[in-house]
Amino acid sequence: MTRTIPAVPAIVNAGVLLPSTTATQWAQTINLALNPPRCSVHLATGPGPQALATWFLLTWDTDDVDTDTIWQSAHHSRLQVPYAGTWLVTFNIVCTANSYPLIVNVRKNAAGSQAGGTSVGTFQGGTSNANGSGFATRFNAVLAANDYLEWFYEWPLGGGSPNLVAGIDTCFAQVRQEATS
Amino acid sequence: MRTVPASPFTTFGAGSPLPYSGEAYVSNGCSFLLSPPRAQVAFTVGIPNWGSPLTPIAYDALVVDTDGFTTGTTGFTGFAVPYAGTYEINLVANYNGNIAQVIFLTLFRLSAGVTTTLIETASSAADDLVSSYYYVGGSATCTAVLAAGDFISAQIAVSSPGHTNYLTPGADRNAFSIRMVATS
Repeated sequence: MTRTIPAVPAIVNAGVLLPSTTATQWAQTINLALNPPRCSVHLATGPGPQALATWFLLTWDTDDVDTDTIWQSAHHSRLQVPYAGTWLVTFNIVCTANSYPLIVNVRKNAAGSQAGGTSVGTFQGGTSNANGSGFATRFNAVLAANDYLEWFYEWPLGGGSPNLVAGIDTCFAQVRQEATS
Repeated sequence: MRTVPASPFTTFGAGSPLPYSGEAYVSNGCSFLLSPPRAQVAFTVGIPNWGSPLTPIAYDALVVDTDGFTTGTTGFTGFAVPYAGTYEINLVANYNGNIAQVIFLTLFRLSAGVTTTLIETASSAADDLVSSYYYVGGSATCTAVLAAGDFISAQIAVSSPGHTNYLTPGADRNAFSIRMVATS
């Protein structure tokens, strides 16, 4: 799906009939407010116990809401925004009970590599003991059209074999356009 | 109850007055944009002896309610969703105890009064201490596609709660909010 994301319409003087361009812009602006471009994906199947001190790419396997083909069928790790603007990014991660602190690094245009692209957010949560870890967080990202985000995660220390807890309620990511610039 | 536009309006007639449906769409759309359907509750008195398992919260203070999400004047256990659409839900919780290690925040969708669907679990944690008072807290946010009449409630659990533990008072420390962000 490709829609027209409008520029901010000019103020129209009272009593003046709307020219068609302005009228269309108003309609598109309201459409943006009522039905913003957005996507929600989650991890339905866990990747299995994983090693410590290693960066992993989080590959989403289920698409729940996707208004504008944001989840990429050829690259399931990517949420690619079709329009430039400010996007609200929300994600939730829960790890198994034996896990130590978890670090999540959200990167832009990284091509599947934690060393690639540009980091747009780094988050850490968990205890210094094996009591489980995870967190929910959100941030704004100013993105260009066709920029994409990928999630990388690592347990830098601890013991055992930690894992993500898969589920629509435990491990998910969401993006929603909040502004056109 | 207000009218929330259900279908996108594509264009207006060029150089002609807006038809009534267009006027209503613009008016309702601007109302939605400037004052989206939303509600927030909090509690002002700390709740003692909070632990595990996950337990629903009854909030005692109403911060805002634009569209009848809540009923009564106290004992708010959640939000009844007035319109179908996508909602953003946020839960903030803070806890004061002496050996607490992890706080779990959970949002539930209760449909038709009987079906319970977990829509989000989140946890926040910090170092575990055993000899001093200890504070943990966090927030959880998600968006969920809901039907009119769905009921959203919040549940909280604290692992390893100690004595003299409680959910801390104050609207800035424990609050629960919902806001409509799209009509589908």
